[in-house]
Amino acid sequence: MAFQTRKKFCFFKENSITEVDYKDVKLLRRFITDQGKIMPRRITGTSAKMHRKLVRAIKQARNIALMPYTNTSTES
Amino acid sequence: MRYYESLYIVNPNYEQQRLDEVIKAVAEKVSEFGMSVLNHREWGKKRLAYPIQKNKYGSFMLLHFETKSAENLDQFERFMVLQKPILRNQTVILSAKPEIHIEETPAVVEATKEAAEETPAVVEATKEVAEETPAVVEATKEAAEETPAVVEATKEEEATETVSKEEESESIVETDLTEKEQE
Repeated sequence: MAFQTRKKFCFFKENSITEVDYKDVKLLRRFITDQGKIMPRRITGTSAKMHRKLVRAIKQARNIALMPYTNTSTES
Repeated sequence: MRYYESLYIVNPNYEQQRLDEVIKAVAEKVSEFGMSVLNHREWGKKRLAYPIQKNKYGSFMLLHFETKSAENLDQFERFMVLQKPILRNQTVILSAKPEIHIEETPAVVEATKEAAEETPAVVEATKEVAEETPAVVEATKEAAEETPAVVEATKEEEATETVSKEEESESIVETDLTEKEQE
C-alpha cells in the first residue's frame, strides 16, 4: 500500500504512565511545538484522559518557569 | 491526611548561607502553620524558561509537607508570595500518595564509598576460605557491579549539567550575533 498512514498511539498508554508530573520537562517537551504551544490530541494521538492531565502538567510547568509560555526567536 | 508539594524559586544570586536561611525560614513557617515537613531539598539551579524579575536563572527548592486541614494553606501561600528572595512558588496537591523520603545525593555517595570499602574485605575473606565459597564470590561480584552503576548515575548528572552550560554559551553567541546585526 502506497498511502499507508502511520498508526497513532497514546504515548502514555504505550508506556503505561498513569500520572503526569509537571517537573518532568523532558517528557512534556514532546507535546509542545517549537513555539511552545500545546500540541492537539489530533496530532499526538494521546488519549483524552491523559491529554487532560498532560495539559494541566504543562500549564503548571509554565507557571513555575520550567517551560515557556511562548518561544519566539526574538528572545534575548 | 493531605499531601502537598511546593516548588519555589529562590533568587539565583544568593550564596549558600543565605539560601539556607531562606530554607530555614520556610521550614519554620510550615511547622508554625501545623504542617509537617516530609522532604525539603534543593532541586538545583536551573535556567528559567522566561525571565522572572530580570533573572535568567533560579535556585529551585522542593518541599513536601502533609497536613490534616487545608485551613492554613492560604496563609502559607501568602507568606511565600511576600518573601522577597522567593521569585515564584507553586503548591500542588499530591494524589493521596505519601511521598517517600528522598535521600540527599551526598548520602548516596557515602553509601557507595562504604560498599567499595566492603568489597576488598570480602575478597580477602574469599581468598582465605578459597575454594569452598563460590557463593560469596558471586556476592562480591554483585557488590562490585552495583558500585559502577551509581558512578554512572553521577556521571549522567554531570553530563546534564554540562549540556545546560553549552546551551548557555550558544544563547550568548546568538545574542552577540543579533547585536552585531543591529549595528
